[in-house]
Amino acid sequence: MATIFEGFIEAFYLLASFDKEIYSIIGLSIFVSMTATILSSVIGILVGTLMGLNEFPLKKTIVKIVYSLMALPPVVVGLFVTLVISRRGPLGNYQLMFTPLAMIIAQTVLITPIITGIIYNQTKEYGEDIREISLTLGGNKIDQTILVMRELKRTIAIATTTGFGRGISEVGAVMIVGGNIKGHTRVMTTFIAMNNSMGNYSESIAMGIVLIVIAVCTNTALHRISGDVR
Amino acid sequence: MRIQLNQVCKNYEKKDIFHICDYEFKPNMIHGVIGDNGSGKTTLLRMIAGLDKCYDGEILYNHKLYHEELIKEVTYISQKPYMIKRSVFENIAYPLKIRGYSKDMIHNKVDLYLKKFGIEYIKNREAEVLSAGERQKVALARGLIFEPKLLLLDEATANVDPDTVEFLENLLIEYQRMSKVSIILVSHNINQVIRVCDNVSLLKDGTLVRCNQDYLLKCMKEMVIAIDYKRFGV
Repeated sequence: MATIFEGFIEAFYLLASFDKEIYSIIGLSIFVSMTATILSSVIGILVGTLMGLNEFPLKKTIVKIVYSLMALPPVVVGLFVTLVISRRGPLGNYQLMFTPLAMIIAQTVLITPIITGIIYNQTKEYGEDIREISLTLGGNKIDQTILVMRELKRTIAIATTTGFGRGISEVGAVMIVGGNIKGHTRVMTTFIAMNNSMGNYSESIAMGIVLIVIAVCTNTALHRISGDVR
Repeated sequence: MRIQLNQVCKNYEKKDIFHICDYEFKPNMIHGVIGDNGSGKTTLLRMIAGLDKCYDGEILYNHKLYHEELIKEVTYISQKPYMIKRSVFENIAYPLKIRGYSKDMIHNKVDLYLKKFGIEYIKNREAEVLSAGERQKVALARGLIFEPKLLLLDEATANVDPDTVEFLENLLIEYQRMSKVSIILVSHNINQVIRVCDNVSLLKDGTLVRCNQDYLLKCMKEMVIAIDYKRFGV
């Protein structure tokens, strides 16, 4: 118990000392996950809405694939992205391996199905009613799509938060494609995993606290934006 | 707006719901459509509204087939209308906003309709939390504010208290007389159809036939007898 308590105190001092390395790790983590979330949101919201509002061949199969991809293990994503961007892979020429861009790609692959699945599910449930009301009041296709997205803004906020949470908390994929290189690709989760294996609990606890604070702040901000908090 | 149904046939899972050879809803009138549950009243209304396009035959609007411009002239109000997750004002203003009306014009027109429907007191209330009667009033105000040429009402006064029903019926009759809009009203309530409509059609055994006054009186009599039987437990 004392170890945990001491760990918390040391963690507090570490954060209060504004250690450059610690804060650059926090910054990189937020940058990578935020960028991946933005990219995934653009793809996921668009694809999810279109899937929910339209009928097309092989829709059932595609939906099944999206739902299955929602549970993708990060390590498998890391492995898949490594195969694609490693020197012998199809994108080998771009030398993306062990760069923040590789981590963004891995997290985008991981998050996109989650956002797509959540958006599709809600659009399928309520999208047709919303689209119909716009149509019967004189809305064209653009008006209809805008209204659907506006009405589903809470769902979009939930999907985005979930995606960001998944991105910032995962360790497997970023560890494989990023390599946990100090000052270059080290993020909060890989830092925690490394320090934990080395027995440096105070650093791990400090990062854990920051992770939790980020999760709470993101959730609060997004729900406030979406109007869910009254 | 004149609506003509030519050889309109609707199937569901290889079963004929209805087959209407030739039928016409004359312009500038209130038409009532009655029929049993499952006879296809709502389906017919949705087809006319352009929401259901999977049918054989043709529906003509002023002698023309369904075209994109019609979206701006036809409106359909269902039994449980969807309320946009915003205020009552925003709901009623929506059709004007997508038509590019100026802010001043929107405010003036919405205020006028709020007054006309007696719902000024809920102007800024969230539309999601309204009662059934208030929802129906908002839906009607929202559907009429852009002055459509064809108004399709699907059991629009179901789940509403008698006072509100009477208010909405009077408002509908008055509005029709003033604007000359064509209205097709689907209802289970024969009394209401007789009160409001200029003529009544019956959708039965897969076809649409015009009802005369005698038939409607007979229906009403049967209803009264059925209620009496129920009352005495027979």
